[in-house]
Amino acid sequence: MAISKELLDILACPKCKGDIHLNDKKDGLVCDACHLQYRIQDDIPVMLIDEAVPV
Amino acid sequence: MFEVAEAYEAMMGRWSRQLAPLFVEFVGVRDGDTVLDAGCGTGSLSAALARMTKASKIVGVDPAGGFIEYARTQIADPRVTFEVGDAQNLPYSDASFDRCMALLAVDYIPDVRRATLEMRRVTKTAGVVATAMWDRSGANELDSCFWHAAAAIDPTAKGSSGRRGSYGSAEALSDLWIGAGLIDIEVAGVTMPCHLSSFDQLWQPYLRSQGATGAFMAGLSADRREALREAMRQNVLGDGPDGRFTLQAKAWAVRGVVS
Repeated sequence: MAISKELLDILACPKCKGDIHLNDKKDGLVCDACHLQYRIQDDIPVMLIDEAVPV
Repeated sequence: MFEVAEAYEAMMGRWSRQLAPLFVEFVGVRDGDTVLDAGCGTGSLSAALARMTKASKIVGVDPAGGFIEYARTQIADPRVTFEVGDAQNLPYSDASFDRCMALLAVDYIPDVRRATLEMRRVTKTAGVVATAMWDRSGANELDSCFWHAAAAIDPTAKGSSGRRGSYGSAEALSDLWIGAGLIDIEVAGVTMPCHLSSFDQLWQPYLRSQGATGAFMAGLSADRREALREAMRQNVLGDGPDGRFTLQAKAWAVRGVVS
């Protein structure tokens, strides 16, 4: 897993700017407030609202 | 996947890599600072930051996945990380960075005012938000050598200065930073010599260029393209033989402080 804790601390949901957390499979970052998941592709978080999927 | 990134590198990458250290010096990065490279593209600025500063963390963000993939292959420094993200909706908490910098990016952001507010939001109080753009007034020979030749073969060619939303002037950058609510704003003109070893080194990248120059090239027949080539060659070499020549590039940089 290449997403460090340090990076997770500053990464936020681009939509609401609230906290996000790693999903169980560690292949996505979830915003509980917006019910959106941002995928992690080849260790790179894709933090685009348009490409997030509802969860 | 790297096609667009490599075309950019061939065209402008060498010059943005040369401009990046001058921009870093202008902004000033302290030991231990956390730095955001907003609109990092192929990573010229992140690389300069890693090489020149003792920043504790350098984060590059760009909406183009191909650029991010490319940037990641160029930099091995563990302080540097990249994300795919949009400057208009930055994926960071408030006050996350000491420095937020954008090199040659603001002209390409659809809602640049929103992006500047986002850049301010993610920067700590007393932190610095800064950007740099190539001059569009004609003083930048990297830009004007093409558009002077374009105007010679097509009087209706507007050049990049006619484009909407161009921030390549002291006034435009200063106004943008005032609008973002930043204080202690400083603007500086930055010049640098661009050394080329032959005319082809300047010309070849235009054949697969993007943006305004690419759009202009795409509208030309083979004959007109040859006329453009000859006009450009005349501009930079005169009647002399092919060989080394130097163009003077000019950029503008602005920095402001978060209050």
